[in-house]
Amino acid sequence: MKRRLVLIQPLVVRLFHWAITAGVILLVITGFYIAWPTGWVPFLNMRTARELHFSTGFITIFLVLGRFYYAVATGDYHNLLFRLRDFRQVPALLRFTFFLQDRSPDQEKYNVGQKFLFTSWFIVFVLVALSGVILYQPDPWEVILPFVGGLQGMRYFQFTVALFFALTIFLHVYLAAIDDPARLQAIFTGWIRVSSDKPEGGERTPSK
Amino acid sequence: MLTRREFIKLCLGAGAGFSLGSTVLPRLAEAITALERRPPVIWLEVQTCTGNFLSFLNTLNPRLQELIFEIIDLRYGNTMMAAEGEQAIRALEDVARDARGEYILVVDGAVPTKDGGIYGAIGHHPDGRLFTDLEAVETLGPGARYVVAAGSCAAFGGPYAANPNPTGAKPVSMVLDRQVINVPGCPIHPDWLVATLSHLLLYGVPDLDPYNRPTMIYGDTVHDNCPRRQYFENSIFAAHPGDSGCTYKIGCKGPVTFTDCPTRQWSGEHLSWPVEANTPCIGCVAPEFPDGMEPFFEQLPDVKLPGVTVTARTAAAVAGIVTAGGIGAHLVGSVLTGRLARNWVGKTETTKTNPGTGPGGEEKTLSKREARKDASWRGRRRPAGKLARGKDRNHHERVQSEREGEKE
Repeated sequence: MKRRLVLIQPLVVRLFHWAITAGVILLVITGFYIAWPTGWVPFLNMRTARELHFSTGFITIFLVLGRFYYAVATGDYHNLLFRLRDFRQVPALLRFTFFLQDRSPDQEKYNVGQKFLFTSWFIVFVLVALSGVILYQPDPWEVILPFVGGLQGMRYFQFTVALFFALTIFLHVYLAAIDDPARLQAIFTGWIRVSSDKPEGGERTPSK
Repeated sequence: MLTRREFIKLCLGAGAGFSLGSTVLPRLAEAITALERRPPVIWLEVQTCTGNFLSFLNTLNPRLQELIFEIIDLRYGNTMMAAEGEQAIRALEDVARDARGEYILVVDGAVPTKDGGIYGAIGHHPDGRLFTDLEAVETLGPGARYVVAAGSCAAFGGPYAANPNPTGAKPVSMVLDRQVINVPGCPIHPDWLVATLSHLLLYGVPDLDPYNRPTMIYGDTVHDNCPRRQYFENSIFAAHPGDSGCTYKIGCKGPVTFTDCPTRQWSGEHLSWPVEANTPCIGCVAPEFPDGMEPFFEQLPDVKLPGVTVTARTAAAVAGIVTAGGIGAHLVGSVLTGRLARNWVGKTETTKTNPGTGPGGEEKTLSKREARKDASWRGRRRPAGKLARGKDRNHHERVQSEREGEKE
């Protein structure tokens, strides 16, 4: 059988992926420490946790902005954005996920579950970044505080989002690992090893 | 060279911001005394525990006697006045009529609005009808020169408007269609009200924040000026009320509460305040108080779902367990159905090669060296005997042929 390699995760995508991953994980850990400071995180006190949290937060905001620009500029957003028409594929994906059918539904670069996750992550990240900036420096934002539940409301929102990210990151890693380990390799190397001459996921010609 | 007015303004700001009341406020009292006429004041207690008025009685500079006999003209006050019944109501109607546009209306307490406001009344009209709190506020509010909501109940609803709010209690600002200056606190610090009244008399409406609170009092968070901030930064936390150290871990709401308690301090002589007494700030001046600040000894509000209320900590634990359980169950399912074996033992190559839209899609075939390494790696990972046993050995080829069959 003829074997080939296909580049499905270019270097820029991988760099953004791992940088944002590191940023979000650090934000979640320091965020939970700020909410419930305990001794389970060694060498961390509130000052360090807050400095790490704020600096990582601002860096991650710029990383996400960069990734957003890249997605728009290269058309990559088509792969990531969940659209209304994607709802049609949800039943098949659920049947596959819950072992009611053996074959995974046809997909483009990502399946609709992943696209839903990516889209929700982006929306939630924008909101949590705004709430984080408000908590970091409330004075310039005092006009909108009454409409967003005040600082306590912002803090509660941050907690909810941290929980969402913490849990969905686990889900994302698990599903990526269990469903198609070959594609999991690609997020490290960029390349995927292909055993068939004929691609399964459609005949779309990638734009360069 | 400062003018007298500028000096007083400076002192007022300093007095409000840095708790210099004992030196500054007597001068303010003198300045206010110099006014031609003492402004009439109506202190209307509606749905209240009277805590704000009792706290206000503890004013030091000026003292209560100076305040009500030399500075303001207190015409009506449920707790203070000697008159009662019809005589009291008549006094209220008189001042509302004779001093229209001049009097300052201080409302203490939330306004019950449910069922026409029958759950709170200040008395009866001469004809015997109930004179409800709602009617009193609606009648007196429009004619006042200034309306001051004293205490958290009047400013934001407070405990009376807390869930389930059986009386439909509302803050004054939701009853009146005009500017209401909010001076929250549970109870209010006497300086906060005296400083606000002083500013109103001398200079008019002070700078207000978006919640209509004077910024000279509610400009900084408790956390910003907390004397235990260093404990916070170094994670030296009190484990229980009564312990020394930062009270953040036992629910201090100082980081989200705007007021000057740490610098002004309480207990009459400005001697102490909650954190000084080793108990957390409960955020009593915040608009979200008390529902949004509960539990008082937890950092975050409870998670309220239909029929269930749990702490944020419990909600996080349950969500984590449910997610872990879901992933675990799916993993077991993947093992039992052979999906895991298919994907991990059977192959690390795919037939799904669509790189999607955008960069990527570049292809190359394995070089001879890569192919050798690949074959060697495969040989180690997939011994022939095991492969032969696996029913899914040719899964992808099978699926591919099935699909091609379907297409045909």
